[in-house]
Amino acid sequence: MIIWLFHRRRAERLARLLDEPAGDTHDEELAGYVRLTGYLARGTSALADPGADFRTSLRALLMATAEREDIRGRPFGGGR
Amino acid sequence: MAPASYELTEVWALVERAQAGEAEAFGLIYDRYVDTVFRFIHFRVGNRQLAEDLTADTFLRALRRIGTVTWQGRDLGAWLVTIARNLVADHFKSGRYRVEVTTADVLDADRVDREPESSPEAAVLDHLTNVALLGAVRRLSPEQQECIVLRFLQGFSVAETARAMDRNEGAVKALQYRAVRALARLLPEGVRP
Repeated sequence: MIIWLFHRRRAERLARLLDEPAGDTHDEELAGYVRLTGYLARGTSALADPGADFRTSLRALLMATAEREDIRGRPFGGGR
Repeated sequence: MAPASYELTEVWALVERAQAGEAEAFGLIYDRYVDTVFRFIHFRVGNRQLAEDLTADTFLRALRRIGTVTWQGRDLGAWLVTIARNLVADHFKSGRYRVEVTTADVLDADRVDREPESSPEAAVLDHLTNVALLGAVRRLSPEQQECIVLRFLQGFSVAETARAMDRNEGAVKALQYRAVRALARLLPEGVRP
């Protein structure tokens, strides 16, 4: 129970630090985690993007589908 | 990054136009979110062809359900990622997926050669760090991976991540903490913060 509470407080503290633009702390462990999330954010550029051909052809498919199937506000059935 | 309120308003104006039957409005929504959806799916499945198929399925499903979506003061991206997440889960449940996904699969292999601002050495170092980081992310549990990808690679807020993952904000904060802690332990010396 004490450990659970400890980790819950650390999770809240980390969330607050991540929300603060200049989130500063003397807690070295949490400061390291904040730095790590900064590295992750910079790593975004390494993720693959959709190719231009795919992007264009999917857009065309969607536009054709929208014209064919009336997309106006009505349920199309099914859940998520 | 999480969108500003004027961007949210702009997106929901597009949703209303799409709901009124304007196809091009949905096209503009697609233009805005296709990278977010593709990157999320590609990271999870590690295969470009499959990521393209699931991205197409996500937007076709979104198109057919745009009439049912309602303003909740939040980013539409979370709704789209929820659809993508469910399609990815269905795919994994189907048993037709590859078990092994390498880090190289989820990185843009040519990207290291396409950074005009940085020196070749810096670009290579950045790429190696990204390889180590994303390799470690891939070793997290599926839920921890999703949390890391949405929060820090896609820039979703805690609230948006909670919505996309069908959890409450407290659960996402706890998951985020466990994920970052686990990630720090998985990183090799030299990359560890």
